[in-house]
Amino acid sequence: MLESAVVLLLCAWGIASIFYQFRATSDAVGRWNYLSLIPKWTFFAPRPKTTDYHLCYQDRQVGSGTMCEPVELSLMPEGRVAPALRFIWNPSKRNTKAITDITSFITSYKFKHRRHLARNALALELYVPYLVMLNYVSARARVPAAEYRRRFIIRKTFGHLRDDPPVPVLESNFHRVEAVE
Amino acid sequence: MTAFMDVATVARVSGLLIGAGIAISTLEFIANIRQCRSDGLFSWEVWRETKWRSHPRLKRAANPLFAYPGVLIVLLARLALIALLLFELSRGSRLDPILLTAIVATQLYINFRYPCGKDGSDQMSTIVLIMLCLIAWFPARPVIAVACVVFIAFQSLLSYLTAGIAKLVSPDWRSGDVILGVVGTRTYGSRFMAGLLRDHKLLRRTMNYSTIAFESLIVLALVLPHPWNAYFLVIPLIFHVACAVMMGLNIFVFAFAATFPALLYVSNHLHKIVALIGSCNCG
Repeated sequence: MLESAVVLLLCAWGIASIFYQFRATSDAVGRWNYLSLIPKWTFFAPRPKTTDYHLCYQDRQVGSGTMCEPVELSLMPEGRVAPALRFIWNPSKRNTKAITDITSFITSYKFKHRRHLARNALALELYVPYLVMLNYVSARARVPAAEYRRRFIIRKTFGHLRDDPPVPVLESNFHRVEAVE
Repeated sequence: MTAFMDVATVARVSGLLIGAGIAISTLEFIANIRQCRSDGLFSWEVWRETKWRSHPRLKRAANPLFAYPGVLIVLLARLALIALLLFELSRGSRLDPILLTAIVATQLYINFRYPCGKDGSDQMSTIVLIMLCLIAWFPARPVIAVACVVFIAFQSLLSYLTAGIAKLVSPDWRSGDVILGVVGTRTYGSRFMAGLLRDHKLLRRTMNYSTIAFESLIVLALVLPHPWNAYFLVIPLIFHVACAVMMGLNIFVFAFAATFPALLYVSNHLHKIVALIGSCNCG
């Protein structure tokens, strides 16, 4: 009895894993994937990411509309790791992957809810990944004076071999930022 | 490689490999602990508002465990458990079910606690750990033990095959140059490797097409006779080490190498396993 239950469970898990690999069925399976137990195995395929994402913030003065230059935020944990050691120790990959994931969450959300957002653009500001980014840029740098508003920007660059200027992928609305006591 | 003829050896070697991988991974999470504070990328205070994390009772009950510094305490406890697992396994002991259950619990905790920033090595680690845990709980039930080993091998095959086919149908990958784009990024590459691949078309194409070829043909690891099945697995091992060196994907080496004993076991016992599954009277 126990054997059968375990084998059946593993079969169901295996079948769910197969269906999760296909675009047509992955959403339906993903709805039940609370603990990331069902894996997605399409590494760097079919379209690998060939750009780097950079997280920046930008301040704007209310009234005059004067824009400050965007400031890039480093995602490296304290203490730089020599590139030669990345094969064994690479803590910053979590942060860069998080920025990639959050950017993907927000762009997918914007596409999926484009009709709703066309009627009510502010709905995006209640989306949790958006709030995570805003919370992050609000806290990372000195809080601007009261007459300034801040936004986050995700920009992409094209790696070591291309010097093209950065292209914005996401630009949030401007928000009032307050220091947390 | 005839050593991979019994489940206990498979479980012990997989346990050692996965233990080493999750030890490094946990240390990396701890190195990034600042990002778990209320103003970080992994701030529980914000992420807990996602739909199935935001149940009021769950939020109240889970907050001390998931917010900083609770997360640091859990990660340190996990590190101690992994150290104990590695110590026990290196002494030749069998898998301890209670210890493994605790490690699986912390793995599920990480999966739940970090909604982003994870990768395929975390997924494979979760699968291998759960299977090892089941094997540890039911040492006297060969059907369960073999089913768990088969499941690890299945997920390993599925991972390579999916990645291989997805690349095979991709015009970008078939062009032979996409690997330059990936290795050219600052996230997954280096200036040195990007320059090397840009200047050596043959090297670039060889790396590109050999990745597609070995991933698509991974099933050979299952059907090749002993010892060629083991020799074949040297290819994915070299691939993962190369990815770790060039792209910084360090945990993949351990997480995927931990599935190789299961692949070898299934390959060495293919006929017997089919017969065992067939003879399982389902209760």
